[in-house]
Amino acid sequence: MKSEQRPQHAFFVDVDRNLCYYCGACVAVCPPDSIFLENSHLKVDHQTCTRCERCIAMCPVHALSKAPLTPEVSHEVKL
Amino acid sequence: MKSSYDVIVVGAGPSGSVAARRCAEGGLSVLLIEKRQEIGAPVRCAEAIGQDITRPYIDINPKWIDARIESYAVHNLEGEHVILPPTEPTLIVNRKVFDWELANLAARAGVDVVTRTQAEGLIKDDSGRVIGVRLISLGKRHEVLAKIVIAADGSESQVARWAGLKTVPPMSDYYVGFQYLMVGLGGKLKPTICEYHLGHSQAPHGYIWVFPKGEDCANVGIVIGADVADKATAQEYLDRFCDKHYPHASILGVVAGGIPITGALKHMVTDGVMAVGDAAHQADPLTAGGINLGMIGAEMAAEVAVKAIRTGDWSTRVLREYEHHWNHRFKRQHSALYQLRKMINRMSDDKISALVHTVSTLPIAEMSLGEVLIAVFRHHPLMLIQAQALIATGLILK
Ligand SMILES: Cc1cc2nc3c(=O)[nH]c(=O)nc-3n(C[C@H](O)[C@H](O)[C@H](O)COP(=O)(O)OP(=O)(O)OC[C@H]3O[C@@H](n4cnc5c(N)ncnc54)[C@H](O)[C@@H]3O)c2cc1C
Ligand code: SF4
Ligand code: SF4
Repeated sequence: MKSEQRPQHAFFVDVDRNLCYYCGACVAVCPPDSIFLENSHLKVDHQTCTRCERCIAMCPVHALSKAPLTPEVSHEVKL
Repeated sequence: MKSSYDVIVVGAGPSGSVAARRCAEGGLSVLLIEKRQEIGAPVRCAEAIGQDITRPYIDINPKWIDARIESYAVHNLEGEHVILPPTEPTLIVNRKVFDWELANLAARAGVDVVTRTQAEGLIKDDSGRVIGVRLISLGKRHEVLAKIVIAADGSESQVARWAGLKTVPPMSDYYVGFQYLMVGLGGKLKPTICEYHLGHSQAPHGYIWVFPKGEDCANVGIVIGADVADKATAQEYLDRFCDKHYPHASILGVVAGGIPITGALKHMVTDGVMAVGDAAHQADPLTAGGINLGMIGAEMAAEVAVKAIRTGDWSTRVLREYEHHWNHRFKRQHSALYQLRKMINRMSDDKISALVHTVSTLPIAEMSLGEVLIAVFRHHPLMLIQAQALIATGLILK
């Protein structure tokens, strides 16, 4: 499926590196273990992320958001 | 770093350092790995510990003590407060130094301590039993074998998860925290009193604290329930509080973090892995204090690990003794605290304020907990119904 054909709700979890404290609070609540700290960087595995939005809802500083799919990540995102 | 150890401990927080040290003192070879480049930093904590309960793990030393607390003050939204004596002397510590000292004690007991070394995965044998850790140390990948791996990697624990333990908490049992280290509190700070501020409109399903760290300096922080964190962030709630109470203070440091408050995991042990501290959800299910409880859990796990390896049987069945010890000591108490939190979550702000008001009029210094509760129930009879689940735990009215 091409990205422009994807459903409206298609998004990926985007980390704002200027806001993130790398505190790991989001890591614990992610059911499929798709978000993690690696060398004090926060990474999201778009392939396994189910877009449940738990992490987005609880981040203490709004560092996570729903971002519209871009061609670079759209091939990674599971729909 | 060798290629094989009796025990590998992942994470050099207080729980990991105590687990590693107790295993080494029991004669085991131990590797303690920490992914950060410096142990203890950055701090993710409000730094309050109990003095007596800490003493078995480290000599109480002024070099890591920032304040000595004589009482707690619980405030309602109207600014009324109840002064409660602590059950034991409380210390506000400098966790950078405290964590570092604990790791230092582990190293001196013979533990191989390495920083900037992250666990990336577990090595399992054909039966699925964990027999080691895949790690990256100072940029190089290694596989290190162990009879037992202790997951002390905190609330973001992946080791426990990789081993198959069910660590993902429900959002209603997870606190999201945010804190400022503030100076210039404008004479409002009592250097020997820890303040708690209740009220869901200022800290939904959580609370705000002000823990003094010296004359005019304090950790001012908040936890809120992750299930109700979508309306505003923990930082936004804390900013509102600080704008109101400390408009002229400066911020010297910022802390963020999450804490599971489920009460300890049902299973903290699986084939070849034992989880301790925040990785096992051992923090207090009401206040989320987890330093002391994590150290106790770590010691319990280490005692069982030492015995198991000495007798040559470290099967899951044997390691489960650790869970039994934990449950025996804490299960009932923690279910009561869990129920108390749920009860407070269900209360309106008016109810919380009225309760604080009632208790503030009682001579509680001369009363037992039971007498205080009976007086509270007399003023607020409906609370008896709300408190059913709490009373059913059998702890509070004995
Ligand atoms: C805002 C806030 C305030 C708090 N205030 C208090 C308080 O006042 N009093 C109190 O008792 N408790 C408090 N707590 C809880 C307390 O901080 C924790 O319970 C305590 O730190 C748990 O200790 P631990 O050793 O289990 O885990 P941690 O202290 O979190 O240590 C885990 C360590 O493991 C390391 N690690 C993680 N993954 C890996 C990996 N893959 N490889 C290698 N290393 C890894 C981490 O870098 C970390 O150093 C607070 C928590 C927060 C978030
Ligand atoms: S919870 Fe927020 S601040 Fe903390 S690591 Fe996750 S995205 Fe970053
Ligand atoms: S949206 Fe859900 S699955 Fe995806 S990273 Fe966040 S918590 Fe994990």
